Amino acid sequence: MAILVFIEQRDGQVRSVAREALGEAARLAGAIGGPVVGVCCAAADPGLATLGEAGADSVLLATHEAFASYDAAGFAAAVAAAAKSVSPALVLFPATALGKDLAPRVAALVGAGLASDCTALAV
Amino acid sequence: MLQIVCIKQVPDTETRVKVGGDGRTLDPAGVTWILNPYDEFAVEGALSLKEKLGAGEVVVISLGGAGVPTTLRSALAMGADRAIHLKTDATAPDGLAVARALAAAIRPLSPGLVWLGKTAVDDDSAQVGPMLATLLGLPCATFVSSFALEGQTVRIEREIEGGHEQVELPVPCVVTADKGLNQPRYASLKGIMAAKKKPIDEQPAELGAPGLEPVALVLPPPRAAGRIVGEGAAAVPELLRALHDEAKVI
Repeated sequence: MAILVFIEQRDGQVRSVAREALGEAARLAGAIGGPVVGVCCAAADPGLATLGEAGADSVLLATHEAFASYDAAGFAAAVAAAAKSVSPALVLFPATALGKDLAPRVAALVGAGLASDCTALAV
Repeated sequence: MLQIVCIKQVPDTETRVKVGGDGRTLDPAGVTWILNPYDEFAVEGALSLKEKLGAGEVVVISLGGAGVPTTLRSALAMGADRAIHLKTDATAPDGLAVARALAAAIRPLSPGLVWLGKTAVDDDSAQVGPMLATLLGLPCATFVSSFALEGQTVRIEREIEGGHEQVELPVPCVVTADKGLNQPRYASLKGIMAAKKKPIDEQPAELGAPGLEPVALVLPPPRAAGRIVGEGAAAVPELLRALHDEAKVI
């Protein structure tokens, strides 16, 4: 099964927390035996091709002009749609202000439990 | 306008936390329970808006066991009109289960505003507000530090990394309150007396299946004893070496 990772961008730049989350996902993917799929919401491609070296096997990009800044409902709908199409074992979010706002919305949309502020993960 | 405030009973921040016999939940013995401090901002936000509008009703709602009415009374003493107690014996239900139970109870009431604290200071997971809003299909602003209602539009400021974000939402909506939103009032003696007569409606909590199962609750390891590296100026080189090589802080 895949691991889905939310790729946070700000002002059209991928934030470094996204690479940290991808690194952890790549480590867990070894145990689960599936691909690491990123999902990013942005107005335009924030340079996602560089995320391969951070651990992503592929990245889904949802673009909308409203995604230039944080659109909570739109981001949640896009990430939930990605989760439904990828059917991942796990969805990772960074514990940033944005991630902590977005993750509960996605969890409610897909009906999954949410563990906040994780400091260690094991499968 | 009907305003609903979701509140949670949490251990007093002075409590010395102990792990219960099951190794998975908090030992409730000897714990003093208080209204979650962030929920006080939410209660105050609803009460001051009701006063400003000069009309409406503020209903507080909380989920939990037999101790919860005490916390509901403290919100009623601040000035809320009535309370709903969603009864359950479940210990530490997860955020999604709580949000589902709250949504089931709140949906038929069609509130104009739903308030919560931005997080509860016990599990600090900050999940229930945005989950509840999503389940209710309402717009939601989290970590709100400034609030104003103009007509049918809520204008808020919310805390983000490195600054504030200004957002507008239509009513009805869900707001989670942060520090700085207001100064919660103290309950007056009159308010405390009046609270005893205000109704608390008991309903069973519709928690559904848990999204998360606690496996173990573990206290942080006790701090190791300190080490004295020497005395006076003679100790400086060794202290520097220890800070640099062992603690790696300089």
